[in-house]
Amino acid sequence: MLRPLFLLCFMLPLLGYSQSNYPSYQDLNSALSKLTTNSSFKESTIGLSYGGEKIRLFKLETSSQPKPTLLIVAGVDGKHPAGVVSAVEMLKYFQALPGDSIQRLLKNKSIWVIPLANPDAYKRNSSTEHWLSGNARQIDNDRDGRVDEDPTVDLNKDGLISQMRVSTVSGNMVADTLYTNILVHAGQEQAKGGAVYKLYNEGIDLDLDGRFSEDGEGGVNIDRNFTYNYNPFISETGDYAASEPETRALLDVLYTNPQISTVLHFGLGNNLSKPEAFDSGKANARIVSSWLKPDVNVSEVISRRYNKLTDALGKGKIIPAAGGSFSNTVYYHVGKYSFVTPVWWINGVADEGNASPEKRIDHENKVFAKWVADQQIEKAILPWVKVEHPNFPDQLVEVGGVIESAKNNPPVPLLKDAVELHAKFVTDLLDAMPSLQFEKSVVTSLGEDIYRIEVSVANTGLMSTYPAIADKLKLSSKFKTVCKLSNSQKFVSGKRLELYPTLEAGQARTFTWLVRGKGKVEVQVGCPSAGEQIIEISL
Amino acid sequence: MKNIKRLLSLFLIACGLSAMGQQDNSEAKDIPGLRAIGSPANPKVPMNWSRYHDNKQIEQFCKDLQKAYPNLVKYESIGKSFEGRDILVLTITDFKEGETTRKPGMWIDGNIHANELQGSEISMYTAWYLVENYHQVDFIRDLLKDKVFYIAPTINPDSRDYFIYEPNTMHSSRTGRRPFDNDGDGEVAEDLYDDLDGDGQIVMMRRKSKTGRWKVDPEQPNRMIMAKPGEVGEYEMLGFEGIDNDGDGLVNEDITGTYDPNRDWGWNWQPSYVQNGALFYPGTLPETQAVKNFFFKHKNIAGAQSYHNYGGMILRGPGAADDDKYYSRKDVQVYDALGKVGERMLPGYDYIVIHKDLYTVFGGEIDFIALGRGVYTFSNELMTTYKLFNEKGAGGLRQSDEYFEFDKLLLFGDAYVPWKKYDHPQFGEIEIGGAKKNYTRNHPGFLLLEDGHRNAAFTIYHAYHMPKIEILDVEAKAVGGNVYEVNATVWNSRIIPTRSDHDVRNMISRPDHIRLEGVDVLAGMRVIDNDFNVTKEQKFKPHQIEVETIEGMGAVKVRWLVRGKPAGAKVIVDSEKGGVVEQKLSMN
Repeated sequence: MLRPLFLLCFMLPLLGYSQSNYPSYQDLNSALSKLTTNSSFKESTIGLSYGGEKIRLFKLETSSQPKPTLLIVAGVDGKHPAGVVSAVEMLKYFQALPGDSIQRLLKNKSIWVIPLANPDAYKRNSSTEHWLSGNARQIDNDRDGRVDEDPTVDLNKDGLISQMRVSTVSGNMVADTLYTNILVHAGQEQAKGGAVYKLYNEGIDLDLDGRFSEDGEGGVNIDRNFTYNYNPFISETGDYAASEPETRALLDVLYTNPQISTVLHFGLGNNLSKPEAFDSGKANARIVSSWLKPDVNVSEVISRRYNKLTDALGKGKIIPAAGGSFSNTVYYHVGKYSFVTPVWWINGVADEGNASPEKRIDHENKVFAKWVADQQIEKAILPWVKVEHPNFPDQLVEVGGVIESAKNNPPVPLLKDAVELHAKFVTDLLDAMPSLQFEKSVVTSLGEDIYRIEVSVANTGLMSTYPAIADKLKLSSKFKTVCKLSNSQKFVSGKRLELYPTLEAGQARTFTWLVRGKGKVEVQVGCPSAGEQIIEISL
Repeated sequence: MKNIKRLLSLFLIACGLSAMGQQDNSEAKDIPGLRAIGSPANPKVPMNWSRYHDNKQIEQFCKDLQKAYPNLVKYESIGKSFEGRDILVLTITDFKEGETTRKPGMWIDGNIHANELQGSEISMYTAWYLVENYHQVDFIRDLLKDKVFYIAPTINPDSRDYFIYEPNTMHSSRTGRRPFDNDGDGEVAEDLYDDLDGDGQIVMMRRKSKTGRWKVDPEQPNRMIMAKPGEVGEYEMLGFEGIDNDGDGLVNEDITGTYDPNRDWGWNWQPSYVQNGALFYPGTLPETQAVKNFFFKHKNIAGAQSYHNYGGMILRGPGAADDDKYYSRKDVQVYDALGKVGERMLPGYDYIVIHKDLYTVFGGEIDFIALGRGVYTFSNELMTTYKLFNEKGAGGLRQSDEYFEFDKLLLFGDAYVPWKKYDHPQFGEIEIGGAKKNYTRNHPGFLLLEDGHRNAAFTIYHAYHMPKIEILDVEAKAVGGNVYEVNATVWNSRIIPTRSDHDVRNMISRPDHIRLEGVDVLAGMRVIDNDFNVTKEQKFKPHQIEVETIEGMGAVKVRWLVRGKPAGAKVIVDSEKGGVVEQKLSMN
């Protein structure tokens, strides 16, 4: 039903957009299924969600021989359908490239895409238009022993869950003077005179615990369920780190495919507009919580290129990383390059510097309100409507104001420019990824059947063969050499197998063995994330 | 005649039946002079507790015990190991009394580290001891009415058999059987131990060397000691038996699973660079997943013991210093009360804290149970040098020479492989010898039974002190009009509260419910101070008062105002970890 609308969306003229035009789950899946006809597009399933939905992985690769791979992941947090649609559009973009372009792009690299890591969320949200983070697990969000006892309630029956304001002398919010449908924090001067409100999410406090809609639908937020800096006992984080099948499926893919070099996450975080900062204390602590120096250098290089390419979108919105996030876990625990961007943001939203949290929220809301007005966005900011409310029998209660999810998820057609710029960034990122170039091996005879074998390799990418942190992690594949001798040969110097630390961008390394005895020698050099080569030498 | 015969036969049948009934009881009782006090003289399931058991024997034991005591024992598989073995759990309780899943539950497991065999035997002994004494010891009979034991003899069955039947050291096969690339070289399990001389034991390698810093102890020829400063040594030590199989210049560096199943749990999990032995994420292994799922399905578990070896310790968490903040004074008092009694019951064992007195553990099972689930948990490190001569060792845990002396005097040389020459492909002429895998960490046979009983008794003590809720003083009185006031006092007659302080603070389990049924409730409240009428009203569902916890040896008072005379009403106390009790209202 909605699919034609979805496909048409990019062509619609600016008529006034509705935020609620994200494709249905079924339409999204069939759009994805249409992609998998091409020979360099392969599809597989990495696992099932808690609700039993397939988590689909699309591979753009020209051979089944592993090549250094960029993995794009979207839809980890269900609140971010814009990431999902961007990932789908990205797949379409690459599929539409002419054959020789895609062959060139995938000559030494592969692109894998998991467009919807949390299908349960999308399935539920796209039918309710209420964009919640979690999967299909029923959780006791407020940990009071009752499950989903205090769900959101659409009080004014407009099909949307927005805000609710209660007129009370103890309130701390007032209507903005310019955009009257948003509330801002009352400064001391503003508090005089006009109406003062307390602001809640639209709902009823059914269990009389003083909180509104704190325990409704929406299960475990996968983007809070990962292992790095996991927070127990917090709403939506799950019973323990990696308790969810979606989390484990993603980690299994990352741990068992050492050729994945870099992960690009379209999600609610951003370490591309502003690079990772180096903190020596945190980087040297027992539990590392700052990117290591060489990796920060890479982050700066990539960030510079990102900002250049996405300049037209304005300064990117910075979203601080929460505990248990996918992207941080990919770097700190799995040991892969990990970048995250929301893909789209409202131009101008990033301008406030070190303001207080209240000021920042007010600023964000004002910029949002301006954008909504300028672009005539529907279902993003609603006028206030009076309702009768059982918890406040004698007070003025109104429903309206900001639909929070609209801030990060524009009407689908508005994603077009951002997706195109990000497709360019993906191409650029592929070029920047580590790449090992092998020089011709040199064999020198020292007499008496003793030979010196020398193999040189250089990293011609802009990133180390793998992040420095991976050298600390036991289960990540290291840079290694394996020199296999024939039966009659012996090492005079050197070993069959040797591991090395990562090779930084622009650096070269030479390996030497002294071998006694004629015959064939096979030398394997490299690492899966930057490329490996097997060289056969006859002595 | 016929009738008389029939009557007679009926009479005989009746006599026989009653006699059989009596016989059933008397058969269960030992002849006093044959019963060594505390131990069944004629157990229905005869066992030898001075030996170790493989998986097949453990399963047979479970079957036999269930068959002998169907009303007290059920065993089940809670999941499969990596290699497809069943992870068995024995449920021990009086199945005729109450609802099993609503009794406070005591979890006991052993052998998570597969080389630490005796946790399994002690777990099995506990199950066996409970049911074999059910008819003879009133305390045990009452305990199994109130409580349920969940006993998993081994939660690492693959590696248990691997340890028992394959070449291993006393330290190896701590792990499971899933192969990983431990050294990041892209190859999996490519450099294992090698039983060079084929004697089924992996022992040490030494080589004569002018520069070596080791020499043979003149007192104990099996023992290697460091040469003194200024003294010339005779040998260099080359590690455990093995060869460099993958040509990287390292011996035995990639044995199967150098991972640690006790670093695979969902609390403060850290990756391998912080916590050696960690895998991809908590629950990478099917064995730990199975146990975790069991805990989430059995919210009645209120106490836990996870057996390890060795060193003679009664450990409590946390495993990492930054989790100390989760151990409130209240909770520590409960641990102290139990742990100090444990020190008395287990001579040579010290009650200590993991991260302070042992070492730091991230992602350990004890933390998952204690902090993830809010369950009072101990982990006993079985076997200590104290047991050798019933005195504290002179040289500390790893330097002591008592093991050599003990072997000589009490085991007659069974514990060591004498040094012998071997021609090694990489090291040249070496000697092989040293302690057998079942020595030092695992109990020698005759000590196993005694230490087994002491540890079992400690877990029984722990289980006994899981909460026992009793309803005291339920009364109703008319307070004018058609309104009656119902007052109830609920108390917990044991040391462990219904919910640990940590549980309450983080809302791990739901609050306890004190419910009044069968009458129309107008208002409900906690009575904070009965004498001065200090109360706290509960607006939401007043008929079911939610209380955070019922403290150990502590009471909670609640009050309801009800419409009409509450004849026939009853008070129900319903606690996830504390059990369920109910009492009808007595009307004055």
